[in-house]
Amino acid sequence: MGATFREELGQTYTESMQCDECGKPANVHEIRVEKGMKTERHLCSECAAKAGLTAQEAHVDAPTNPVEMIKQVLAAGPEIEVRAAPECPTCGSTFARFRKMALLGCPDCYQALEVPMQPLILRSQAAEARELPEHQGLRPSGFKSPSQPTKTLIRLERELQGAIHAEQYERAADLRDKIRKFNEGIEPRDPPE
Amino acid sequence: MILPFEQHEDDALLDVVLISRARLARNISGEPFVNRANREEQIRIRDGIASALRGLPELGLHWFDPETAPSAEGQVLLERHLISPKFLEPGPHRLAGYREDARLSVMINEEDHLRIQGYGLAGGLSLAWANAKGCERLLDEHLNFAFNEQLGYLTACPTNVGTGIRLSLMLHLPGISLIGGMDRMQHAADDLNLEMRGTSGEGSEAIGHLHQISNRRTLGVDEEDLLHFLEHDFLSRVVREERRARDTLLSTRREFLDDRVQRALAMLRHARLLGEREALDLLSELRLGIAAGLLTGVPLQTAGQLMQRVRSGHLTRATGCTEEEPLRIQRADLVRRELGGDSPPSEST
Repeated sequence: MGATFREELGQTYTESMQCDECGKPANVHEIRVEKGMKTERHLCSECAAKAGLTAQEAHVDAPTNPVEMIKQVLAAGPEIEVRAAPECPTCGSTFARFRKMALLGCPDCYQALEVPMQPLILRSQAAEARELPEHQGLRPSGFKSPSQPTKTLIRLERELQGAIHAEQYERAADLRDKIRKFNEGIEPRDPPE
Repeated sequence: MILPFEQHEDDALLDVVLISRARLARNISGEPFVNRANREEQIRIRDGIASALRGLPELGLHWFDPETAPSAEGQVLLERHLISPKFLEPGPHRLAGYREDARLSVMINEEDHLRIQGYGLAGGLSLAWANAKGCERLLDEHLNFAFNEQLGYLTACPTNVGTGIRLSLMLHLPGISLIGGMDRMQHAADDLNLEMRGTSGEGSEAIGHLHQISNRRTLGVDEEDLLHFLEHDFLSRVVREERRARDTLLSTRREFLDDRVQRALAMLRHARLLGEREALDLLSELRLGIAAGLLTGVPLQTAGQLMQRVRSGHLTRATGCTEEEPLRIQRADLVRRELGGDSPPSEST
């Protein structure tokens, strides 16, 4: 179990990214897509501040869960994307830590580190599948399944994260529209507060 | 709920299967995993789970605290496969519970907050699963396990996420091994997404032709489906192949096989000093001889039990010896006694 999974980790991700300016670990990643051309910059927090990447500072200082981050990124428009390396808001574990130990820090890490981890889970679980299969089997007796619309929304958001991670921006835009429409569609059904 | 601990054991596969085990990984919701928990959190998690387990006397658990119990006791539990090598490593505050009949054990704060292990003997994978599940369902009423709709039970290592189940079989495969079929076996296991390894778990060598096989996939496959696949699709084929290999050896190389078995028996009956590894290898040959019908008078179970009793931890507990040299003497004495060998020199003079 662990040995092969660790090997997998080593093969997929080599050294952690370093700041383009000073060589410290980079935790701000800028991806610019202009007229179909993509450029990347990887900076540490200090160099990012010096470089004037302040508009998205919130992502740097307080990394939130990837779904929220991606939502904000998409809301900012397709030209500039600044993403902080994800960190679990509950226990502070990073993907770098996971890479080193092959262990997550707490149950919330699954959501916080989902984007970088998903391909690894996929490979360790089912070689052929392209999407993570849904859990089958025992469940806690007190656990209430989310409603069908919530499940659909979770699925769409998951696909959106995947598309962004795979840099499929057109698909991501489509999914974003779908999520918007879906939200508009189901919101009126919620009882008014 | 009726716990299946006392259920009758089916021994139809005893010639190939030594142990069947079903392990379930669970973590407490809202708590950091063990590798991230501080001392205080480790104790809180341990005591919370232990208290739930103590409230279930029907499980019949004995307790083992690695911080206070003598290390020989841990070694015995390890040799009985009731705890893992990792559990005995220095680290977080841990606690194990086990049934004396070895049908169930729990490890608290190993890699996950809770690992429940159900056991069966030969072909008892269904029974192993029933034991583990019975314990898990009882605990489910008292503990809040970390779970989500998509990923199922959340575990410290994502290789366990979903059902958190690891079904494993300890198989005795001297036939396949002697006809040179282990590579093919290994490939077949890989293709079926099964892990194959030596007796002591990850990366270990196969001593005495013992191999452990377990599932890799834990997400998106129902426990019962997995059980059915392992028991009916996989195990029945391996058993058939192993028996065929033994038959082939018997029909084409009977002298070769008989020679190995008789030599093993002679060594076991006459040796004055036996190392652990040597004893296990010889007992493995003996077991093969009994299963293949070359030896009568020694029951298969005796050989199987000896494979456990000659382990250092068991011998230390039985004899009080801890030094290597006296243990080798004790091991040889035990084996001679059980297999009707000649008397020890002190008695014969």
